[in-house]
Amino acid sequence: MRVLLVEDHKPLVRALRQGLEEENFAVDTAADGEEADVKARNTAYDVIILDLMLPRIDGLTLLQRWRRDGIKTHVLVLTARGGIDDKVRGLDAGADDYLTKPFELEELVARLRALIRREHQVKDPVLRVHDLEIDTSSRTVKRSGQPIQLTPREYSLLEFLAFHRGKVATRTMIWEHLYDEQYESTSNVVDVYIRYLRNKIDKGFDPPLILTRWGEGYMLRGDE
Amino acid sequence: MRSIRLSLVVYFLGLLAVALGVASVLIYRSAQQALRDREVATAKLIQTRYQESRRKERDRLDKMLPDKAADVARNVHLRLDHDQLRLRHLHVLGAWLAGMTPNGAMAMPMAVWIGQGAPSPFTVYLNQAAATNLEFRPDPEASGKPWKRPPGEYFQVNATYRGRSYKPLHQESPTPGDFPDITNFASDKRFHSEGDDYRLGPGHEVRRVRLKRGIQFTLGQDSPDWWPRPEVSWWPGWGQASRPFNGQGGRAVTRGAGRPAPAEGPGTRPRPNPNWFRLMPTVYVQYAIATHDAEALKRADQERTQLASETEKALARQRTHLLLICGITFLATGLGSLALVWVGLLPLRRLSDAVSKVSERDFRLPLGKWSLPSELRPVGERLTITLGHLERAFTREKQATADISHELRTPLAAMITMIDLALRKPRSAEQYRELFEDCRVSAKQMHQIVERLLTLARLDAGVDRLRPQAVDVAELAEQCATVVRPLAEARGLQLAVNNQCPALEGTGEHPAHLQTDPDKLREVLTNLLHNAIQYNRPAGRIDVTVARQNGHVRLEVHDTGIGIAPEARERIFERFYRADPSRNADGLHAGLGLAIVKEYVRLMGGQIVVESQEGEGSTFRIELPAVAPALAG
Repeated sequence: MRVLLVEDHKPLVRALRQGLEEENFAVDTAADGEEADVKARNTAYDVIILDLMLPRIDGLTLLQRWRRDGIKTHVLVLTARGGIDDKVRGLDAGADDYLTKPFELEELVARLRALIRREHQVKDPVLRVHDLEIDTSSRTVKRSGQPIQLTPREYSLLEFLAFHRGKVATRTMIWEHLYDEQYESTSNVVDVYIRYLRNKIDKGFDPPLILTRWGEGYMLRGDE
Repeated sequence: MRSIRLSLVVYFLGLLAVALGVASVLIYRSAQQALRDREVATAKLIQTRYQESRRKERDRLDKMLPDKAADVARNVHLRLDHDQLRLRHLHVLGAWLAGMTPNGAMAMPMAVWIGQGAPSPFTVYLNQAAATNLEFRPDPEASGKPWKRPPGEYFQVNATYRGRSYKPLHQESPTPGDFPDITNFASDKRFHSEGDDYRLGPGHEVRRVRLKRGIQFTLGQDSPDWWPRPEVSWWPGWGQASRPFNGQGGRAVTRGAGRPAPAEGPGTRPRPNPNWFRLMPTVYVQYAIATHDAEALKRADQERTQLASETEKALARQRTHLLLICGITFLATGLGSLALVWVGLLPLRRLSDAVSKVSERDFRLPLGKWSLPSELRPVGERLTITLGHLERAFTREKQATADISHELRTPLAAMITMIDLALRKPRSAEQYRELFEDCRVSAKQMHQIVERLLTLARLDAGVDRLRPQAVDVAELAEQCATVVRPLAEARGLQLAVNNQCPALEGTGEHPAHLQTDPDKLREVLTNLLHNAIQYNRPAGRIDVTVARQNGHVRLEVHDTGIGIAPEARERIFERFYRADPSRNADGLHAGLGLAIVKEYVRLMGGQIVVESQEGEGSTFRIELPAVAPALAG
């Protein structure tokens, strides 16, 4: 899942980036409002973490602009402003969640996951596809009851496909959501990881869940 | 006075009372004057009328009186009672004659008779002796019964004849008083008439005429007709003269043709014998007619008193009217003034209502569409300005609180996140170290922020004081530069200190002395130097200049950095303001440094200005007086 972290305080950015990457998020950062605006309009993030006190363009203004212009990405406001008025104002401006500093990393991560679930209208943190079970909170995978060990990248890919099950995910989409801006990618990477995943998920199981749509991309088999 | 309304009303009413009082008094005085004048004029009129009527009456009476007096006089006679004649000494002669002659007893009466008939002094003597009484003997041609007079008319008739006075005659009705004896009236004239006023008795003022004239004899009633009457026609000297007396009872000789009666006016008698009046009885008539003087006077007095009382009443009325008018006016204007004052001060009430409606949320004066009257406008404007200041201060405070919370929370969040990270899973020692270093950075940043906030709080509270000492600014600049130089050199920057103060003679030293607080000055300079380092370009320069100018010391810090945009130049000294926050690499600067610098410079009595060219560099210039004003006194 790809996250845009909009925050100007560099130490915090460093810490958060590390923390989120350890949670398998691909993290892009922006240090001021202009940068954030550009990135948010040009990339489809799964969720945006937005600090309100930003240079150049204020966070709230930014949020209002995004909503006005139809950017539907979930936004979690992460800010030192903790008053009720501030919270109300933030949520009313179009935020999907509001978290005040200082915060617990765990909480931030959980909320992000919840926002992502919400985006895909999934209520159950455990994604079930046929006999495949993906527990998004603990990041564990089972098929037919058998736990499967996945590397973080493999897991991210599987989770992404699971959230988009029944729908085709193009290679571009895949690597956009799994890699941050710093990664100069080739679409080959995606194919490689699909193969890895197939080895672990589909091998020895029936039916095959990871499907290829030639010319388009890949798909996780949806419910029929 | 506690209440504007009350004091206004009281003052106004006081003024009104005074004005009304004065006006009333003036009006009353003039009315009084007019009334008095009128009274005086009317009194004069009354007096004049009275005198006029008096005069008229007197004139009337004066016309009447002589006639009446004459009328009376005409009827007055001296009665000759020859029968009363007692000529004793003639008796002797008679007796002798009677003895001597055969009819001697007849001799005496014959002697008398003869003597009487012959106009001689003897006859006169005889007549004189026989004149016994004054009496009325109405002349048929005269008016009626002279002793009957209408009421109010009185007279007295006195007579003298040859030194003999007679009982006076009066009118029939009683005389209220006594006429005087005027037998010496006009003693130098044989005829005189004079009118005057006389007081007959208490309350009886009369107009009187005194008449002196001769009268006739009348014979006694019992004298027979044949008793010889003295003829006086041939009396020498009496010739053509009118006959003042005759012997005929009641017949007036004087009623001859063409001959005027003696008492009818002061006529001229052609060549009268100057002695004859001595022979004729003279009568003094006082005829008086009661004048209505007393009544007139009383009436006049009454009129006058009435006038006076009327005047008084008019004055009293005037007074009452004035009082009433004053009272009503006072009341009406009193009430009116209350209303007017209430209305007039309504703007004040509105203003105070509006002020009381000012709330913490809305710092505007809720005047609505109503505009302030000109007197209150300054107040309103001032109030609005002050409220604006307050609002800005509140906003600033809120902003500051938010800023503070933000400033501190973010490093805290960073630190906590780092610690969370560290504890999440087992990490290598290297990783732990890194995380700890980052934590320390955040902690230091927070420490600095807290310190600066405390400083600002102290400055705001006025608790921070200068600790004055003699300071050599150039030396201090050198010290700061020395401390900061490693940082500058780490970034490849050059740092130089120029001392431009004129050298002292002989010593070659360039002192720039000040009486100020060295710690604060050091902090100021250090802050500026840090900024200069922070915002500088690679291989740039930092120049510190110390100069002396008109007793001021000038301290400049010049850098070749990125410069400051014009709109930012205004605001860089504001708290929490960061011109270029993206440069907040290590989060060292929370935007408080320059705010503190400015406050310190102000405390030291100096000024700080900044000049800057974007892309070229900035110069911060501080001017400090030789003695900080906070120290003086």
